[in-house]
Formats: sequence, structure tokens, C-alpha cells
Amino acid sequence: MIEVLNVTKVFNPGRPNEMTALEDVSFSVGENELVILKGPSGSGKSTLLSLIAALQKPTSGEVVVEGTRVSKLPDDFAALFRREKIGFIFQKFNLIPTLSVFDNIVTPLIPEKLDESELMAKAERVMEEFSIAHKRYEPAKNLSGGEQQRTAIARALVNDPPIILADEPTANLDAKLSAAFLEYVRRIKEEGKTIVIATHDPLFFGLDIADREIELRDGKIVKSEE
Amino acid sequence: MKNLFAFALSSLTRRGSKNFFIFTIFTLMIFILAAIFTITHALKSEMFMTLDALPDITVQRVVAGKQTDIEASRSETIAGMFGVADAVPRVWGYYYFAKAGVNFSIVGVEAFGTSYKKSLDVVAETYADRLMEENTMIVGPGVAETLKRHFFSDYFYFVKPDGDLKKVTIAGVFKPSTVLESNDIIVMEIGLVRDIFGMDDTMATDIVVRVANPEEIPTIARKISEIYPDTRVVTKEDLKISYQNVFDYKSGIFLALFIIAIFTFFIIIYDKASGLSSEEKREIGILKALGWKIGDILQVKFFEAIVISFGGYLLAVTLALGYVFGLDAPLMRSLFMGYSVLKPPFELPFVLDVGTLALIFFATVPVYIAATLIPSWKAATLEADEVIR
Ligand SMILES: Nc1ncnc2c1ncn2[C@@H]1O[C@H](COP(=O)(O)OP(=O)(O)OP(=O)(O)O)[C@@H](O)[C@H]1O
Ligand SMILES: [Mg+2]
Repeated sequence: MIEVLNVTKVFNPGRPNEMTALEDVSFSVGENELVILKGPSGSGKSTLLSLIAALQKPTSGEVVVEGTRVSKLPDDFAALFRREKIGFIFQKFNLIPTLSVFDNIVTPLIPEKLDESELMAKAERVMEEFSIAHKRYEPAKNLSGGEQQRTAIARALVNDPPIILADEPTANLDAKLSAAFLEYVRRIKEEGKTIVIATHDPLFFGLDIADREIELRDGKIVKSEE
Repeated sequence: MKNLFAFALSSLTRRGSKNFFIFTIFTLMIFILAAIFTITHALKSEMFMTLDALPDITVQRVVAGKQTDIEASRSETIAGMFGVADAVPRVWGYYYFAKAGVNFSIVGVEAFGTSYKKSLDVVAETYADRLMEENTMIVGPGVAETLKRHFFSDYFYFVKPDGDLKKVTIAGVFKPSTVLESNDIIVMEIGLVRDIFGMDDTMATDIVVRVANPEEIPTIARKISEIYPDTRVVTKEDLKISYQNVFDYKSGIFLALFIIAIFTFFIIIYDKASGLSSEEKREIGILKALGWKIGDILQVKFFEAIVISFGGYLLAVTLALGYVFGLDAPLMRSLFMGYSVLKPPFELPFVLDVGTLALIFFATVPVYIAATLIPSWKAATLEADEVIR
């Protein structure tokens, strides 16, 4: 499903502030697997996620997703790839604060030029699933932490993508909401999605539903356990 | 919200107060520019229309540095000069109406004959029965208005230099369409004007000369001043230059306004072009991560910029045209025309300066759009990963 092959990412190569964020990283994620990327701050977790999502290109090596070499995709095709294949859940959720819940959730659909009924149906489905439909007109900035979390998950799933990438999804949540997030992950996995979560939250360590834990340190994989 | 345009609109309203501020400044700036250029253009064409009607050469007598009456008979000598089409003595002057604190211009014409009456009918509402009487005058609408306010609806008593009163009947009023030239004017028979001003029958105020070939104007003007060393000879060209000077001086005030407007514009452009707020960058990053193409993002930014700049332009030009031609440019016009009690009520001629309006368009709208798009494009291509760090 996802194959990361000898990926190296160097920022600002050849300049004084040169930074090797990832070095010769290889691993793969099978369909419907849940992989936890762990490691201290600055170890390269986010960088790895953005390479999988084709938001950046590796300095060397390749990323192949469902047979497509996404690390070679031109910008517009990378965007199309993300739209169809990837649902992103960000640290702090990154909702657009002044947009309503509904508008945030349909944002990934807007460039697709769907007709209104189709767009409504897709939004309705995820709003129901993550119990946020009652707040649909509320601007995101007025939401509680849990509501923001559910809106962000609904937005990631609105396009029904096969892959979900989550970057520090519980970094700003209390224990109860973190536990709730875990439940959503369980549900999403049951729906058949492939999931990669970058985190240093111990809550995700040794998880029964996790297929693998990959530990990064200074851009290198130091441990990978099933 | 279901398409890029709707997203653009919502994103404009989301940053409502900032966008409203930019829209207002942008509109105001284009309004000032468009109004200045439109007024200037209208006045210029008006001015040159007026100037074209001026005599080729005006001859005045100057004694001790002051203009004074000139012998009417000199016109015959001048008319006899080679190249002169005709030379006519004019009798005119300003009459100060103390009660209203205004000056009327009294202009003398050859007797109101039958043929003259006909041409008068074209420009004035006349009372035919009175016109043939003695001691009558045709007045401009401003004069008629002023006199009426002081209870002189049918006639007026002029005070002569020796203190005697002269009763003159109003036999007609100029039509409003000729208001610019005739608003403060009183036209009466030449002898009557001499009587009111206490002038000798052989004297005139000045002599106007028409020249057959415009290229000979300077030569003839020089010859006249050689024959009559006590005269000041003013050519149409001289007048044009002095008008132009006044005009240019007034334009200086407008230049100042103009510079302020341009300055504001560049502050907006600078602010726009110097980059996006971190919030805006973050939003672009989110959109990219959610699968928006760079083109989708730029399309939204383009719509936003179009709504503000083109919307502002259309609104500003509409307001400017309404202000200049509908309302007759209050404030700005008095800056330009100087203040005169009787002058105001003329309409600026409607001349649309399409070239300049297009110039304003191309100097503002595309600049604004570019200043919006370029930083967004940069953010969308280079910095989109920031959002997931
Ligand atoms: N665009 C960039 N330009 C320069 N350096 C970068 C860039 N993106 C990441 N880095 C650097 O690469 C290294 C890895 O960053 P990354 O964000 O992947 O770490 P992380 O494991 O996600 O850390 P955290 O747990 O704090 O989120 C860091 O040292 C970071 O400063
Ligand atoms: Mg990170």
C-alpha cells in the first residue's frame, strides 16, 4: 500500500543551515494496517508524513503509494493524489477558525466541482458518523476541543480516502479526549482504512490494534516492532 | 459554500474588516483619481471651447499703467491694415451692485434692430413688446435672479458716476443653456452703456480685431502697438497661456491630491506584496494538504482580488461620474474655478475621458491582482509543508 524506499530528506542542502531530517529510511505499510511513527521532537516524523502525502519531495529515494511513485509526481498530480487517497488529521487540527463546521468539512470537496446534493450527502454522512451535525453552522473557533477533533476527523474522511495520516493528533488533548480519539481510530481501522499516526504520546505505544511501531531518532529508524 | 467563488467570497467576509478597509481605500483612491481627471478633462475642453471664441487680438489703451478708454475711431485705422478682417470697438464694463455685493458685466451692442432681435430669440427669452422700447437690456439668468431677490423684476435703476439714476427695463433673459458665458452678463445698447458708465460718445472700452490668417496675428499685433504706443495688444495666444497658467496652478492642488492617492495605493500594494500573514499562509498550507491544487488556491485569490479591485474600480468610476456630472463636482470644482457668487450654476460639459479611465484601470486593477497573487503563489509553491510541522 505505502512503500518508503531509502528515503533521505535534506533541507537547505549546501547551505550553512543544512539539515538532514531523514536518512535512508525504508519501511512499508500494508492495506488496512495501522502504523505508529514515534520518536522525540525533531526526529523527522512530520517530514515523513509530508513525503507520503507528496507535500514534499525526498532528496533521494522513493515513496510509492498503491503503485504510484508519488515522490515523482508533478504538483498538480500530487494534489489530485492527496484529494483521492489521503485524509490528513493535523496537530491542533488546523481547522479554518472562521469557517463553520460544515464549511470546514466540505473544504476538500470544493475543487471537485460536485453537484450540491452529492456534496451535501458526503458531508452529512461524516457529520453523522462523528456526531457533529448539530454544530454544522457553528464557526470552528467556537468549538470545544472534542468538537474540533471530530470536525477534523470528519474533514479527513469526507472524501472517503483509503489512507489516513495523523500528525500528533492528541498533542493538545486531555486524557479523556485522547482516549476518545483512540476509539475513532479503532472505528476507522474497522472501516478498512490504512492509517499512519505520528506521535510521541505513550497512549499509542503497545496498542492492540497497531500492526507496527516505528521509532525514529535523528532521521533514522532505530527500531521497528510488529 | 460549494465552489471556489463561494469560497473566495466567504474568505473575503471572514477577513471582513481588513478587506472592507482595503476596498474602501482602493475605491476612494480611484474615485479621487477619476474625479480629478474627469473634471480636468471637462474643464479643459470647456476652456478651449471658450478660448476659441475669443477675439484674435484685443487692443486696450493704457495710461499710467492702468487700462482706460480708447478712441473708437482707432478701429477704422486698424481695420484698414493689411491682413485685418475687421476691427470693432467694444463698450463694456463691470457694474457693482452693492446691495447684493456682486459685479455684473455690462456689454454694449449695436442697437437692438430687427435682425438682431431674431438672433437674440435663439439665446434668450425675450419680451418682444419691450425689446423695441428705449432703455432695455437682456440679462443673464444669474442677474435676473439677483435683481428679483431685490424686487427688481421688470426694471432696474443704475446709478451713474454723477449720482443720477438711469432706469433700464428688462426685455429678456438668456436661456440656461448658455449659462456659463452669460450668467452674470447684461447686454444693452452701446449708447446706454456709455451713459451708465459716463463714457464719452467717441470712446470705447477696447477694440477687438479679427485676422484673416492666424499666422499673421503676431505680426499684426506688433504693428498695432507700433502705431499706437499707448496701447496694450493682447493676442488669443497670450490669453491661452495665461489661462493655462491659472489652470496649471490649480492643477497643482490636484496633483497633491493625486500624489496622496497614489501613495495610499502603494502602501496597500506594498502591504499585499510584502507577504501573507502567518494565518493566511497556514490556510494555504491546509488547503494544499487537503488536496487543493495550486491553481485552485490561486483561483480563489484571484476571485478575491477581482471582487475588491474591479468592484472598487466600477464603484469608484460610477461615483466619480455621478459626482462630476450629476452633482457638478461640489468642492472640487470651486477649487478649480475660483469662487464667484454668480458663476456657480453652470454644468460641466459631459465629456468622457475613456482613455484616462482605461489608464487608471490598467494602473490599478492588474497591479492589485498581481500584488495579491504573487505572494499567494509563492506561499502555495514553496511553503506549504509548514502547516504540518
Ligand atoms: N521546511 C524545512 N526547512 C528546514 N528544516 C526543516 C523543514 N522542515 C523540517 N525541518 C527540520 O527537520 C527536522 C525534522 O522535523 P520534523 O518536523 O519532521 O520533526 P518531528 O519529528 O515532526 O518533530 P515534532 O515532534 O516536534 O513535531 C527538524 O530539525 C526540523 O527543524
Ligand atoms: Mg511533527
